[in-house]
Amino acid sequence: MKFKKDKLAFGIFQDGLSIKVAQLGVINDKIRIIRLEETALSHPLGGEEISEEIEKLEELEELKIPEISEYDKPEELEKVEEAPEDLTGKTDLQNLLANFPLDKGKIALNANEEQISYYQFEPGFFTSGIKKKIQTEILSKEELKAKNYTFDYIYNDDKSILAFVHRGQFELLKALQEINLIVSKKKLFYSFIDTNEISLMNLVRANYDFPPEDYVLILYIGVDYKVGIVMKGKGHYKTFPIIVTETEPEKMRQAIYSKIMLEQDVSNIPITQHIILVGEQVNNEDVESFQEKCNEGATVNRLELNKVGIVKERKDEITPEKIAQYAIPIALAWKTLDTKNKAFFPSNLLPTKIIERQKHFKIAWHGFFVLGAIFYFTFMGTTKNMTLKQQILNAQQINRELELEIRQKQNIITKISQIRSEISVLEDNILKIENLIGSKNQWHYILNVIANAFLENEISWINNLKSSEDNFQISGYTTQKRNIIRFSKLFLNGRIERITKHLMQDLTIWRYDMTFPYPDPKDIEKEKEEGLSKIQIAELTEEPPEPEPEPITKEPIKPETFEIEVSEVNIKEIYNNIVSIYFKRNTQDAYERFKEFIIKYPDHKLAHNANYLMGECLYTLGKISEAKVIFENTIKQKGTKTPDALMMLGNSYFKENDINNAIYYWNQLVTNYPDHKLAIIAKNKINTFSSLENIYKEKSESKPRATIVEKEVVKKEVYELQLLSRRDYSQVEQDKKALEQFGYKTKITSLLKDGEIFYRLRLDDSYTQSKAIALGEKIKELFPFINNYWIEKILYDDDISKIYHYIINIYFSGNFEKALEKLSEFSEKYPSHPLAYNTNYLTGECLYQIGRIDEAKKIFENTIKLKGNKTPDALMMIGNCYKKENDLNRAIDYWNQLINTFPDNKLSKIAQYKIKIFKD
Amino acid sequence: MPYTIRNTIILFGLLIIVILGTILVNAKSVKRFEELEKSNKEYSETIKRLKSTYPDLENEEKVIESLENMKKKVLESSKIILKEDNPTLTYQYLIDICDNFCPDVIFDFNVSRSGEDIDFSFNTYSISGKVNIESLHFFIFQIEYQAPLYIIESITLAEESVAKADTVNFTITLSAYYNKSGNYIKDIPLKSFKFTNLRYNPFYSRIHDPILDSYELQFLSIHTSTMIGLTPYKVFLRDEDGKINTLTPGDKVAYGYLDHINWYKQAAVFKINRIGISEEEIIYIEGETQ
Repeated sequence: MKFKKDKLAFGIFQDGLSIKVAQLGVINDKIRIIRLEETALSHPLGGEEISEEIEKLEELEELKIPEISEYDKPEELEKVEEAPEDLTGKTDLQNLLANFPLDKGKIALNANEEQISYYQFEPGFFTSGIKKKIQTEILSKEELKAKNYTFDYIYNDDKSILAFVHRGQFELLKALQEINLIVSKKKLFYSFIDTNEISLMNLVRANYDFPPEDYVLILYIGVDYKVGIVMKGKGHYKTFPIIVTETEPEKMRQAIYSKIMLEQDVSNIPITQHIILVGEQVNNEDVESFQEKCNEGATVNRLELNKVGIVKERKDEITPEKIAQYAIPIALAWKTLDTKNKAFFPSNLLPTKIIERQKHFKIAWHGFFVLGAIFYFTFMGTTKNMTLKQQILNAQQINRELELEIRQKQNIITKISQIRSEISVLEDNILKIENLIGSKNQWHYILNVIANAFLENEISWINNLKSSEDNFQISGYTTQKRNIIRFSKLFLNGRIERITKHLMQDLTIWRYDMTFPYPDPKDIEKEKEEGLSKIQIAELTEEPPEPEPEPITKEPIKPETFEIEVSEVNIKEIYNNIVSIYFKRNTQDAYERFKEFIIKYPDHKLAHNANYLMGECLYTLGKISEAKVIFENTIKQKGTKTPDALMMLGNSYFKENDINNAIYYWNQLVTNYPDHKLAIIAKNKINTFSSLENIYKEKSESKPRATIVEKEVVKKEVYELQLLSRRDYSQVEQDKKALEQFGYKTKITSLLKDGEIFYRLRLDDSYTQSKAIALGEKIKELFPFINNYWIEKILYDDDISKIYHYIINIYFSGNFEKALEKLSEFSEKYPSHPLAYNTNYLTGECLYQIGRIDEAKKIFENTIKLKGNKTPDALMMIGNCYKKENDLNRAIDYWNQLINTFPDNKLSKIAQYKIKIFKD
Repeated sequence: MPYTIRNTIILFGLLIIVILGTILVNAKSVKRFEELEKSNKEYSETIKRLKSTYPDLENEEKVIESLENMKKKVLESSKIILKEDNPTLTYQYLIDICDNFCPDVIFDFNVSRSGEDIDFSFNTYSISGKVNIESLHFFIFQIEYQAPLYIIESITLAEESVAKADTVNFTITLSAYYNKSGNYIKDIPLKSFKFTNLRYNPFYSRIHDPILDSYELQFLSIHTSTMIGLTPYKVFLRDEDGKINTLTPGDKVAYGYLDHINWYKQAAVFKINRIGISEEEIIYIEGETQ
């Protein structure tokens, strides 16, 4: 049967040469007696006996022993040689213990009663520091110093103390330690050492439950050890030794009883109330005998252990008598197993040294110090390690992030490189493809350009278009020969191949053939980027829509588009394109496009502007009545273009010589939009034309008379400074540059004096009279080529305009001489005024009218040089001059110059007509 | 030896082990940490180097997006070389264009020649037919702007009774270029473009033979009528059937309308357009037409 160490215990009891061993175990949660065995030692275990034996041996060695062989060794000698081992009785003990598995349980021993001294202390004798006080009370200084003792104590119920001291060695313990290695390879575990009295009291306390006031006598009758222990309740009352010399049982019983009675008498207490008999020499007769002798009511029993069982196998063998015999070893083993049982006194005489040695682990202060160091280093190391681990984790995290970032960056670089490489390959391919395509695949554009050109030049068409490797040829008809020239300029480097006259339906038409090189795709691309492209391409959806073919009509195809979606940006772009066309003076085209724009986007905010500009186009084209309708509509709409429309409506009436109505609308502009920039111009116009005599007198009743509500402005007198006076225009230009280098900005003005044209430089700024003179002097000093200067009072525009229009009136009335005189005055007075340019030209016309052709030519040439708005008129007039002088070639030269430079100017048509007439 | 001493010695040994273990473990950790630090530093430097070498990396998304856009734009704005070509594929492509964009373009298809260039092989085709100019214009636009690399080598357009049928005869010589690095035509989807029609048909004959138009013929013909009376506001004409018709300015007649009445000259002025251009025709009371 296997037991855990805590579940198996051995009680070893020595009584003289008798050794009893009780083996108890916990089986099925109950303490059971497993085995009880005893032996009688042949020799005592103690040291005195051994030393005596050793002395005997030494005496034997000193004897003269005859020489004998080992074979002849006498029996006596053999006994002597073996004697040292046998003399201690350990062999007997060893033989007995060999039957027990001591190493598998705990061992408890009894103390030798001969070495035990008991001390009884009354309750309250000690209050504190009991152990130390008992020690000093019961032990001498020598004993304390020698430390050859162990002691312990127990409390009784009345708080009295029973202390007991064991002096000298524990022979049984020593013997066991010595034979330990013989009986077992493992070290035996010693649980405790108790005195016999304590063990016996433990049995009674654990087994019986007497009233606290009753006295109980434990009568132990052993072979050598006989004692009477009186307990009161659960506590120790007194102990008395029983010394019996009789060997005959009855006599011995009598002697013991006498001793008990004596003790009862001495102590005067009824110690025989309860008698429990224990020991080797307690049989049934003893129990009966003591029962008879004691008083009635006294209970005499042999010890019975109701709470301890017996293993089945030994039930027959372990009789109540045997249990009484083995009471003390059973008590020892029981206490070992049942450590939590409070019935057992917690006494132990086992030397502290052994107790400590048997502890699994024990450390001293230095051990604690080292342990502390271990904890410190472990803690510090762990903390440090944890910190490092955390740092490593953080570093790993950063590392991972950085790795990831690098991977991402590398991926991006790879991706970028791939895309770049793909783009490079694509670009390479595109280049190859572009080279392959060259100037081909432009037919869509070519057809567009041709279509647009023929839209603008009616009664012209083409009947054939064919292409070759380098160019394409178009053939067609037109009723206007001049259109052929325009068609030849449709594409760069166009060349007219042939023009022939034909009759078609009795009408004269012109057949033409012309070739064009293919247009450069880059130019077309550039044109597209500038937003002037006639082809608008934008990808819309992945799936192509089903375009519906437009019905074919006999009338010229109206521009219709498949525009599925036109964004706000596109509308603005379209509008801007048309405006750009308008400002390029392609008025007819612009008009058509504005019209189309309004039809397409009637609700768009730019439609208002487009409508107004359409009016301007009509005005420019001379369609005044239609223009007026549009301007009136614009005014009604009251949009942003209303002021412009008022101005233009006034202008339209003025063009129709309806000055009264003209002034009426200009006045509307001034009254309703006084802050508008056009209001100033309108004011000037009103002032100018109001001053002319009787112009609107007749109609003043029908339309409100123009009235200008204007505060009088105090006009400060300011002067301008004019320098030089040369006839050579180019020289004046050089002088102008020289002055500019020194920070004097000037403008070239011209004036007519004595039939000669002079050029002056006018400084941009205006000055007071004194300042103008001072500056003039200064400049004259600084620049030697400045031989003279003039200062002129600056008149305000409205005043000058009045004078100018007055002169115009004189001119149109046919009084050329007077007009010439006034023009000359004007030119001299206000040479730097913008109107001086016009007066100059008019001077030329006056001179022409009165037959002073040479002078007129000079003036016209000067007008041409100045490159102003009168240049076409001057070209026409100078041509007229030469014609008048019968120099037709030179006249035609100037008219051709007019046609080529200003093909859209109305004078060009007249010039064409003149050339035609005079050539014919 | 006392147990306590022994235990202290054991503990001391343990302490040594703990210290050594701690030092060892920590040293290992420190080494690992230093390695990581070094590695991090190297990575940081690598990133810094990458950033300095590729400054665009900071705006990686934008760069990639712009490059992708560029790529897309390049692809979109350019022609794509074909992987293969044969008359079947080209004819299929051309009729696909017609079906999708200009279904009224019908053409004859001829294979002209095949050849090889340095980078490309090519097949040349001739397509011809008679079609409305606008449809043809749209057809040409598609060939020129759709992605497959087809090049119009030459074009011949001839007016044929545009005034009557509004059609032109055309012959287009078309080349398809291809090489192995190209794309299959079936993988190139047809794109749809915003397209502006021709604003005018330049092939339209402005002067042509008089057209017999059944619609116009239901109106009164001034050439077969006689003016029998005139007031400042009305004209009385007798037609070939003897029926008297009263016209006021603006009233429709065959190929035109009554423009105005010239009372002083006792004439009716008509605007007539039979040959493409509007002509003024004057009928006098005597029946004279100018």
